[in-house]
Amino acid sequence: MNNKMKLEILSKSENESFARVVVSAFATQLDPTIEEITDIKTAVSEAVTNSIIHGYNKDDEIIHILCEIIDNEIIVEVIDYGMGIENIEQAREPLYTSKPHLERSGMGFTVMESFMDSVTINSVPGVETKVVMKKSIKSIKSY
Amino acid sequence: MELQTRIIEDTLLVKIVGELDHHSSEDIRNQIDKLLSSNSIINIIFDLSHMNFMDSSGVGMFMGRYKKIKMKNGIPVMINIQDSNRRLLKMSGLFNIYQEYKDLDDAILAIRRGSDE
Repeated sequence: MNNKMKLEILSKSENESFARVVVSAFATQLDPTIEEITDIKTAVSEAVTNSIIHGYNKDDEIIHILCEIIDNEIIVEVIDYGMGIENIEQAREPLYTSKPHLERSGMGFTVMESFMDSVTINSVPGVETKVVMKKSIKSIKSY
Repeated sequence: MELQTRIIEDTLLVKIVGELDHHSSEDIRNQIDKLLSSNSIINIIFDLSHMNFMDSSGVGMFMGRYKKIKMKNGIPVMINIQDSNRRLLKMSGLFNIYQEYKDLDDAILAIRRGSDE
């Protein structure tokens, strides 16, 4: 199966829940288990929250979420055009947070990496930051 | 998200109904901290039976409340944990700092025993 969708949202924290519900609804075409849906929802929530808090720290900027289904794999791209990540290796470290005063756990990327099959981060500070996450759905129906 | 709170002796019981993410955790934090500012509350029990989603923003909220309870020499507890939330709670090490009990009765008994020591 092949399919695509694109979602554009403002960087409001209210939209974190909207974004993860939309992506998980799109993913249901692959007939995922409840656990797989929870994994996707959580990973999307982390990526969108990062864009809102770290990318923009403002609630009126644009976040794009692109989803593609290729065979039994879902690919989710979360893109913002905010400040970006200077040191990606550091950002990926468990418990690292650039905003400790905000009670952030520093686990966002660690959660994305454990709940999805792969996570790649590309960032050009001040231009574009793109997080690409992929997950194969095991419980695929045969078409 | 809705927060249901109840005070039982020197323990604050907090039931999180709905989703715990960055958006809702700010509200939850403010509501809990207002209650925790009372000196008569020492312990906290989070009832997670109706928490149907959490992400790492929730982990930050739980860690922050743990620090407040530790400063009061109190006991932080979680009860009624759903399987879907268990993976993240475990991964984040929250079970190393929160005590887990099956339900409210077990938690209250454990807190009473702990306070006598």
